[in-house]
Amino acid sequence: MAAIFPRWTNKVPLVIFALGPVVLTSVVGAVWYWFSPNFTDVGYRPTQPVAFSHALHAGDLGMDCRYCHNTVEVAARAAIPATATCMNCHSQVRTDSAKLAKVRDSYETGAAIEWVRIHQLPDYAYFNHAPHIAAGVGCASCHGRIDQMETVSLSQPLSMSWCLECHRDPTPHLRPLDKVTDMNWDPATANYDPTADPARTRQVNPPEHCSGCHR
Amino acid sequence: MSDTMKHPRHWRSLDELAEASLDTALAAGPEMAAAQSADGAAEMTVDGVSRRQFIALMGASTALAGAGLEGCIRKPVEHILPFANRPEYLVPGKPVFYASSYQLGATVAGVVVENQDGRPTKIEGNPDHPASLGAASSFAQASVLGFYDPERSRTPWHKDAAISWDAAWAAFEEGIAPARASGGEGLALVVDSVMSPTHRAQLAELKRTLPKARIVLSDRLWPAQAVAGAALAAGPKAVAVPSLADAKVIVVLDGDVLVSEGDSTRHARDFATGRAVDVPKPDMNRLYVVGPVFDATAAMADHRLRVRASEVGTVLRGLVLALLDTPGVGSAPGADGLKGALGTPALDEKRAAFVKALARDMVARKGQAVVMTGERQPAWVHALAHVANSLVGADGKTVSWRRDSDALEGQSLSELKAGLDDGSVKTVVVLGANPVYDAAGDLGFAASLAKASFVAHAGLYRDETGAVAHLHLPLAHYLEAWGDVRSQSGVASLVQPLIAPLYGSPSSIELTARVATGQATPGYDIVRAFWAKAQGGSLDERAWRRWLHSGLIDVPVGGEAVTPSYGELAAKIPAAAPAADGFEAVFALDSRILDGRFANNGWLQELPDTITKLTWDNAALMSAKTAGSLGVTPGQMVRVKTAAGELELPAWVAPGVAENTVILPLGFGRKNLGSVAASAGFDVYPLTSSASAGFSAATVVKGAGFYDLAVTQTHDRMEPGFDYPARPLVREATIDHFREEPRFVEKAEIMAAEKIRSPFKSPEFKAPQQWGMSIDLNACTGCNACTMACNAENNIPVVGKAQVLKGREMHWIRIDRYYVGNEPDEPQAVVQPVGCQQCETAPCETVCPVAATTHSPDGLNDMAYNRCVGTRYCANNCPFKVRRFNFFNFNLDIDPVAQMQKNPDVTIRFRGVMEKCTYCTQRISEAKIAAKVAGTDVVADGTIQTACQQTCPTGAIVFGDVLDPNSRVSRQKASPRNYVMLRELNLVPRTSYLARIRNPNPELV
Repeated sequence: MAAIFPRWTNKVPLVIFALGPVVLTSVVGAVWYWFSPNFTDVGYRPTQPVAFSHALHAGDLGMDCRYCHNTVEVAARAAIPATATCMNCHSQVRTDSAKLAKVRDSYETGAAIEWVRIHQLPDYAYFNHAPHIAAGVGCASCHGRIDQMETVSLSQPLSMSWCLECHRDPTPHLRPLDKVTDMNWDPATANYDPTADPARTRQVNPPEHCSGCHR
Repeated sequence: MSDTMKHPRHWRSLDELAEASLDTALAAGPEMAAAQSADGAAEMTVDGVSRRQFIALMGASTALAGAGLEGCIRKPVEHILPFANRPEYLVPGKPVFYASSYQLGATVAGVVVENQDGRPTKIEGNPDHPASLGAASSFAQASVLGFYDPERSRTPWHKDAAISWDAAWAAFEEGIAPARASGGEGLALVVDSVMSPTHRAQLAELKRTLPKARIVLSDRLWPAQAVAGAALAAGPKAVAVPSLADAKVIVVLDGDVLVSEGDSTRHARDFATGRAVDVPKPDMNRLYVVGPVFDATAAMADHRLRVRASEVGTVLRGLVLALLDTPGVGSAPGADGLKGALGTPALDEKRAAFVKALARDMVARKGQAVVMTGERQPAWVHALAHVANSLVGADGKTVSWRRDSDALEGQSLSELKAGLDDGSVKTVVVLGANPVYDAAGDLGFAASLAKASFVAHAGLYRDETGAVAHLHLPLAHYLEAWGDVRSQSGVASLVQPLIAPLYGSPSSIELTARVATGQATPGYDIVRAFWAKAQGGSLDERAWRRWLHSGLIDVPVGGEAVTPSYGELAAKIPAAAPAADGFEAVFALDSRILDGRFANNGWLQELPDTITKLTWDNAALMSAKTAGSLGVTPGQMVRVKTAAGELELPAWVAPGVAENTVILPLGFGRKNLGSVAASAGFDVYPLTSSASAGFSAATVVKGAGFYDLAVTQTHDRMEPGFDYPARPLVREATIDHFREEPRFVEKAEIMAAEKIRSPFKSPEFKAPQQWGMSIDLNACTGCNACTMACNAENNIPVVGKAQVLKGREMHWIRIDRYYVGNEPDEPQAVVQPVGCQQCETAPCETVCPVAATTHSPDGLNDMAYNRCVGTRYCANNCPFKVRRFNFFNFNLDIDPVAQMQKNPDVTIRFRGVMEKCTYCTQRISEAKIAAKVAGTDVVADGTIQTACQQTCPTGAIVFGDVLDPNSRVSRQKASPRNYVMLRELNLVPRTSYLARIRNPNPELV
């Protein structure tokens, strides 16, 4: 009677024993890498309805972030500017540019421009810009070098572990309060010590407990 | 003082009183069925889907989800739509608050409405308005849900067909044009309570231009008897406004004046202030309540006289006679002639002693005593109560009189019916009223209305009247319309819209203008034109802006002074004392849906009644003795018959109700109003009579069958049951006992403080501020406003009667009501609001396998919804039973309009997630962020108000930093009355309570 299992099956346990841990490790590693926001989210660069260039406005022209995102110091959201803000300049500058057709339409009809959201947190995470600005966390720390982006892309994973990394040790991410929107300020060369900064009335003390961000 | 008096028994249900074991207690009533279904047998179907179907569906949907895996990895693309031109000062995502006003019957409350990105989401009281003082009633709180009710009327209807607004206006004009052309011939305008000076002026003008038109007043909340009673005492349009601010002896005759009737918010605040006992020289007021209903006001009473509704007048006769005989009593103009008219009231020994002691107490507190009468009592009782007030010098002190000179003198529904029957009324325009539903049963109003040739109805819902009208128009809600109101005390305030009308509906004043002119006039113009005229021709723009900002119109109160005189009252007092036998039916406003106007409001339907803790239904409430003599048990149907009609509805034994009396709450049994109202309760209006709106003689017999009533009184019990000793959850003492033993709360503890030890290290809390709460049971009336505010603030779902029957109501703060005493039918009561106690050593945290509930450094018991996997271990381990579980996706698939009410600052919880009170952690975070931005780590005391605290009419709830010895909460916790529940478990709760103090009259003890 022929054997039920052919002879090569004798090697199966050996192969499983030898390759199992490798496969398992690879699967875990693959999920770790490819399923993390670091891979899935960072670099997200959707096409926007208007080809607005931060590199031009914030970079070359050197406009302050807060000229447009003017609620960032007082509110949770750094509001996307109203069309009227664009038209402050563009009623004078490049008034016939085809790229600005949607902006002019919006201004005339009152219809909103449908920007695509890039920095998107889950609804149960209540991020608030205001205390971060007040603490001296630079725009560039979370949003990257916006001043060099022709089209904005996501530069950080915005995952909970990424948030907590800074909340547990904020000092390396702090800068002088007047340099928050300064894209060129370099923490590596600045050698900034927040505890010795007389402009600060309090030292930062970011929450690490659940209700700090979840309500 | 005996031991039982010092430590009275507290019980939640009659079975607890009878000391039945838990099992037999449940077996006794229909709650048995509820408790059994909670075991799970009934749970196998979910909305008609069986477990097997569910698994099949789940399999299919999982397969589909797998096929569309793309959707799992890439987040859905979200768009941001900024304004094209953002209004100045508007910050997206930051709420803006607007002052407005809310009117309910003749009651006016100033409110502040929270507006989230253009959506009104929450109502608060306006701190500057003298009638609200920062508090909002549960009705005002719930009105925002009514605004977003998806079943509100959205389009006009013409004879059973939805039509466009243009067609509707054409039909409207066609219907009323003939009447307008003939000076109002055959026209009747039916309005509800008109407290708007603009609307009153419009109606007065209408009377001038269309002299033959009738104006009819139809509103169950209009205090018709009080108005008539004041007129008997002081002439037409006189208004008596009682104030409890300085009252030390308060007598309430058959009315729920602290919760559901009249200016209850203001009265509750004044009442609680007058009961403060932790002040240097406490001078506590004393409340006497006389009447058949054991309502929230009766539960606050120091002395209650349980009499049938028809005997309230008899007791009052006795009281006035006793006052006249009491040495030192004052005088009332024309009162001398009354003695004869009062006769010899038949009072038994107990009642005679009561009125005698009461009269002495009132005279001893001359100028600080007040008698208040409920709307169920006839006008002569109101007038006679004013006599008592005058006799004890209340006029000008605890009762202020003014003449409401522009008050509307509308005809009654009986007069309208007569007009319809004799053909003199052909055209009926109903503005906001619903007479087909709430007219007295013996009137047969619907049949008469059918004789009219044209009936137009404007209302929030296409209700009973809307359904029979030829033309129905949706009416604007107060949150979407311009208007104004003036309270009975003369304070005028503005109503401003928070949003453009959702369905393009006109307001009452806009419709009235259309009746008069046929033209559409914006409400804004009408209101401004009125005030410009009132200001002598032109309106100062700055003043208008100031009014809009504060909500209050700062014009002099006006109105001539009035003094009552009782020379002609004697003729109005009925001679014969009513017969004392036979059943009586009392028609009470429901403590949740009032006269039925909130019947389609899920928040209010699911709110447990202040005393009975009944949800989603009404029932014939009767005393245990009456139920025994009828041979009915709770839930059994009874047949109630009055001269007007008869009805079968379930009985419920409500301790404290007068003998041979059934209390029938109004407002239920709505047909075709909406899905919420559809199956809730029984319509008792057909039993009412137009002659006596409040009560009438009845016969009651046992009916056939049982009915499931969802009563929450035995839910979330904190007693372990079995043979464990009773735990001192609520504590109380008389004022004398308190004086002699200030730390009486300590005596009640079942374990001495030094015996409480823990093998573990106490947790450390490192934040500079530590949050805590103190709830004063001496102030709390159990009015439910806190529960309602919490619903609105924290996006708490409505679960429905079937779920409440299973004990799954979701309220984060519930109000436990304990009856006190050994007599089932002569109880006192204590109410206790219970939310999460924020234990420092929280038992829920240690059992969570995923650390979804943990402690924050500032002492909050955090709940991370997105982390919860739904094991429910925490709820099991919570000794206070305050955790609530989402058994279903209560928040999924809600109408987009209803979604607009949700508070964006609080997560919407999903199925399978535990939730609970977090001291409004979103408000704490907001304040802490504001402090950090301002450059400090400390939030000033009073900056954070929890939703329940903010709306509490009596200020019973105080929240703040317990580390700061000067914070309000620390000072309140320093009271000798301070105690925590279940101290022996060593949970160190952050919420503590102040014991209730009663102030009995020594003569009556």
